[in-house]
Amino acid sequence: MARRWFRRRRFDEDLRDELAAHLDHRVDDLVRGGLTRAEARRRARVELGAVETYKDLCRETRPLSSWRTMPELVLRDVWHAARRLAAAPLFTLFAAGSLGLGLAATTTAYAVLHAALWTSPGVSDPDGLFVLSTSATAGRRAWRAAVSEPDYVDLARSWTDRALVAATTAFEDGLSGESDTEEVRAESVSGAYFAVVGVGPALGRVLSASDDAPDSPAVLVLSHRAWRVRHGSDPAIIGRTLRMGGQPVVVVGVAPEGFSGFGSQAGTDVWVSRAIATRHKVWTAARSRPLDRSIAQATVLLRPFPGAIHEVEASVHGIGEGLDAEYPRVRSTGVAGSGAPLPPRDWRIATLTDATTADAGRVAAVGYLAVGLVMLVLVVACSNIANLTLARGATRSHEITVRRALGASRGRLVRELCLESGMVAIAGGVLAFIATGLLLQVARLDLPIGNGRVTTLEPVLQGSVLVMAAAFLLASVIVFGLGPALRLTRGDVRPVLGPSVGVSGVPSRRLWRSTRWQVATTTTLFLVAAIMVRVIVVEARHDSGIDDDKLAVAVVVFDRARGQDAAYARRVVDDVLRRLQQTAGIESASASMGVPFGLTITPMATVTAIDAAADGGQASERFHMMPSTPEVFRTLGVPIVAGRPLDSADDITGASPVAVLSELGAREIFGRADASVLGRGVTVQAGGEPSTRVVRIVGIARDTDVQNALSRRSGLIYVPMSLEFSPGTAIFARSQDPGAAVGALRSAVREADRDLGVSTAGTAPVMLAGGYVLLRILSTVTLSLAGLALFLSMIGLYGVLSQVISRQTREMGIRMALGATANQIRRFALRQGLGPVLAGLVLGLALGVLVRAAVRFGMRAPIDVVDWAALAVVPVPLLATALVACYLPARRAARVNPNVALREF
Amino acid sequence: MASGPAGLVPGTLELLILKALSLGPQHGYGVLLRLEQLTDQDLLIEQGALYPALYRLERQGLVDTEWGISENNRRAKFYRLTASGRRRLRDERNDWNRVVAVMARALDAKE
Repeated sequence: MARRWFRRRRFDEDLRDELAAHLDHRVDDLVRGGLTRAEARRRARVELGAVETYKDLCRETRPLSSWRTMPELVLRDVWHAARRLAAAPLFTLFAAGSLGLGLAATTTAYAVLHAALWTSPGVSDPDGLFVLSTSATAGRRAWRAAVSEPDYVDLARSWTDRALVAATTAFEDGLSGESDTEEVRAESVSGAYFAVVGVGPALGRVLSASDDAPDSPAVLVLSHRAWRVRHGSDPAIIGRTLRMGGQPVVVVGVAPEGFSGFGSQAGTDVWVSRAIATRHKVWTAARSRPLDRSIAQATVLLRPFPGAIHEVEASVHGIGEGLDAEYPRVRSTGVAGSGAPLPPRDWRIATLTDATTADAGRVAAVGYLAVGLVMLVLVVACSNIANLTLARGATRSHEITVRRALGASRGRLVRELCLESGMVAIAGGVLAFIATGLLLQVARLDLPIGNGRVTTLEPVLQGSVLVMAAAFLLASVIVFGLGPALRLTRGDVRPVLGPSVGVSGVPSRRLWRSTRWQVATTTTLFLVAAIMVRVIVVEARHDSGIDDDKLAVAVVVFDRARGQDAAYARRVVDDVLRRLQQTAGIESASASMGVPFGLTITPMATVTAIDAAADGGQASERFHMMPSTPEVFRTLGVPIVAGRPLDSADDITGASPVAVLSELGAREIFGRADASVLGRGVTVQAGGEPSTRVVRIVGIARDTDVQNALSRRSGLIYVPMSLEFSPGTAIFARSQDPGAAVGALRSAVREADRDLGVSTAGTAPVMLAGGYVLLRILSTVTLSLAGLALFLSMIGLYGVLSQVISRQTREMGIRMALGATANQIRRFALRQGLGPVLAGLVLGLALGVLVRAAVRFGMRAPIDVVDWAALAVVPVPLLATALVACYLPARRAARVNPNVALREF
Repeated sequence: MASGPAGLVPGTLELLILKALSLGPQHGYGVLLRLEQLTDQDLLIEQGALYPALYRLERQGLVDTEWGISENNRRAKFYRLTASGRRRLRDERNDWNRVVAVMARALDAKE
């Protein structure tokens, strides 16, 4: 080994000495010919040519010892490829970086989108799992996946020998551990539920048929997430007694990770047996009228036995019709035996996959759009590499021709070129792997998903993405390695060994075409991303009307069925507010039943002006109503524009009833929102209640968002809490440290009543973010992708254009020799380089407008098909890059003495 | 120079080198000068391209090498034709002449 190494070193030294001697001889000759020594040395080097290439070629003539030929051949090829890549560090860095970043960004984006949009319910064989649904009226397409409890029992009975059938009903209730009570999302399920979905326990046991018995003990199964978050993954949780709805219940198991149930989008926290739920009166239908067929609260899941799918499908309709015939449905009036008859329902079953896909159609559309954008970024990254390879290939054709002329076989050259791009691809892949890992760490987020709920976004690398990424890597090797390799080595060796031939300065048409498309793709991508920019800007500029920066919110839901009536609620609210006022750091605290942004169910009320003669108003309108404590305006930061806010004298039972209207509300009723409205009377009829009451308007408050963030379509009337009661109550605390205030809110509620659950609590920005979070994620992902694409394109464009223009130094030399001025040269270069960029821009802008027109159909928000601002902004960075990339080399070329340019380039 | 410097038909560089060395041992640069002489500077060769060809000839045993001192007192590696190199030159020259004659006849034939 050592001897081989010495031999090799000796060989390299000899080769170096020999070439040095050649240079020395040549320099001597040139000096004799009249050149200065420095000039002679420079010239001699140019004449000698690509020394490293020739050294390589010399080394290749060395004999290889036969018994280690194969590995040595491979090693030699790898070594050569590495040397050549190292000799072009910028190309290598950029090609591998471009590929790596492109792959990393797209895999991450895909994983995030996948986690945000396509969360799977985690059941086994979802295609074999069916959901029963009915349409309210036969023939209508509005399917509803719920039937009444008695309907479910009858259905289950008729399918006993053909399918496993289970029912589930989602509800929410307070779950208490040793110290605190928290509102959880629960499903009350029949014993067959876990067998139907095909999910076993991660710990302990799941519910089974034996839990259906009316006298079975009260048990529950925790979700894996609840177990982890609430109980710190404590295995000793099995057998522990918790309290739900004030009743003891024993934890018997933990569901597996990834199974999120069917209760809510955010995932179910606990599953309790149906028998227990009924006994403990934890859900409305069960507790009031368990046998009422008009209360549809049971979602029926079924898994047909193998081979029985068609039988079950065929029988659904008949069974359903039989039920509707036996128990004719009537329009519910609340009074038994009255009401007009309803037509029979339509019945069907659909696989879980179909049922959820139909629900999420719009989300899926947006998701596909995003995945489309992801693919475009990869296209940009790949076309970057293609362009670079083409541009580099033109320079290398000289080297390759030399080697062909000296007898290297075409196969050998192709192998080497492919090896080079393979190494670039591997480097890109490694880079992508590392970057993706880092990005996925960053993308692990707790997301508010509306109503203050938080779900954990856990993007993981999807198998499908890895396959896709591998396919792209392979394709890049083939397209960017094999393609140019074959092209470069094609045909007979042209007799090109002289320095004058070989480096053709004229860029190939293929390179221009590819540049054009790259620019077009980036432009399109940006125009589409501009939609998202608009959304973000609108969102950022929007003022909800509530000063939510320093606000903490907690929601408590009172339950009349457990004796938590208006008086009790008021006691608790007053107690909590008193505690909060005594807490250091809380500037103001208030409560309201129903709030803006749909945090709780906000009651509706019909508001009618008494003096209907009023000037131009509608006189009677449905408003959202907020029964509030007087401090609410100060706490929420809602200014009073006329009159006065509610005060504590208004908020006592028996006080003269008063109200504050929002500006919009005042305008709708009275046609104006100024002081002239003050003192006028309106009747208020709360939703569902027959009685009306007369209240006097004492103030007008600035408008706020009402139903959702960003919506301001409805009027709002604030009344004192003593006047109305609604079970969903929000408690607000204004503090310089809203995070700490959230804790204060929680503990104040806990101290007021141990069994009362805080259903959600958090800082206002998180709580009120609502469904826009998904949009924001999507926007962020899209924007970063577009930004990356632009970045890659700019670098790619610069690399290609500057290389192409530099290579035309010789042509510029000829032009200058023929009398062109430096200015003309610069113009020539700009025309050369800007042509394809401009063409690409026009193409991309047109494509972008088309895509926007197509996207408009899938989106709720209005989209301008032609967004002039975006059209004006998008081309700027690309054009600027192209200008710089053309101008700099052209300026350099224009400075070169034409003689030198002709001789040396 | 009616048509400019001629390119090189693949494989012919080695033949030319053998010819240049047949006039006596020479170092790399000297081979180059001799080639320019032999071709009346009508053949453009990138100078570096010479060396891989020389190394290949050495590998085939057609030339021998040894380090020596050049005419202007520089250490240089000298190439010398071996017996088999001489034989190869003769064979190749015959082949070449035959090919050229055939090609010339064919191309000059009356149309």
